[in-house]
Amino acid sequence: MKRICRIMKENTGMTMVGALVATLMCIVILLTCISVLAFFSYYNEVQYICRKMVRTIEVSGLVDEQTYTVFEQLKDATGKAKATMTVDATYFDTENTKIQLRNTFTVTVTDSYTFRIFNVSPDSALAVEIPIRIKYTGVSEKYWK
Amino acid sequence: MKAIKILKDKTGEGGLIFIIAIYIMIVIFALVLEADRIYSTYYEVENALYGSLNCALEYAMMDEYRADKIIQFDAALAENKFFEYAAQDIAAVVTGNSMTRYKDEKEILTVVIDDITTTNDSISITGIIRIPTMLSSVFPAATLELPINLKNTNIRIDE
Repeated sequence: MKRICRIMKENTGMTMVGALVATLMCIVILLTCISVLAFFSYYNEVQYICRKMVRTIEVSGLVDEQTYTVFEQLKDATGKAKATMTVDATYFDTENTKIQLRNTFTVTVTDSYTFRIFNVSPDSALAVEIPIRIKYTGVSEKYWK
Repeated sequence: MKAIKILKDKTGEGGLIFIIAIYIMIVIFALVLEADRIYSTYYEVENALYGSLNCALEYAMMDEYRADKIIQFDAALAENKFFEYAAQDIAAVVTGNSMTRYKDEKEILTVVIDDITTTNDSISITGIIRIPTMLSSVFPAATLELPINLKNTNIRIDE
């Protein structure tokens, strides 16, 4: 017991322990920053997909199979397999989902970012799912007659 | 002389340098924020004008010519529609060839269209976007004038 107390009170090598703790803290802070930056990068990519989809619908003036093909291509190109898209609009031609010139529509892209906190095992990890929901409004630039 | 003695006194020099450094940092930070605001506004207005130009040209296309594979549009109608759509998109009031956006009765943005040129298939506009900066209320000359030069061509001959 006496020996343990003596070791605990020993001041030799304190600087080394301090340096180790400081280095460890720096590494943790750096890793946290990288994780947060990765999230923002992911968020920006989802935003980009949403903007691109708004522009696609603005130019074509309709929501058809081609629109969803573009969405799938964008998802593949950016690796956002879970992303989904909904379009809310007042259609000029409901059957063909045409949007009249100057009519507004809203594109909502939803996705989620998996924030890994701790890897419990190679197969499973302690993670938090952060939902992402981007909503943009556009105006049809096609005149349907 | 007491004043010379005070000027030569080095006591508290570190504190003064620190205050000056903080002041410079605040000024730089404010300038960066202001530059970002101006750039965002310019980008937003330019996009809105481009969209309005697209819509105006699309609206004024003459279908009777399209049937014969000729691209023709009503220039006067396109010009009128451009001002109408642009005013809606940038939430501005049209006066002659300029559009002004107000907030609390204060002018926050002005778009002046100097020239509209049309050909048989295209319409182009040149002008300026006037954006007041945070110093404009003190120095009227501090209002920024940024050029705009947009062109839209419609070559669609179907439908």
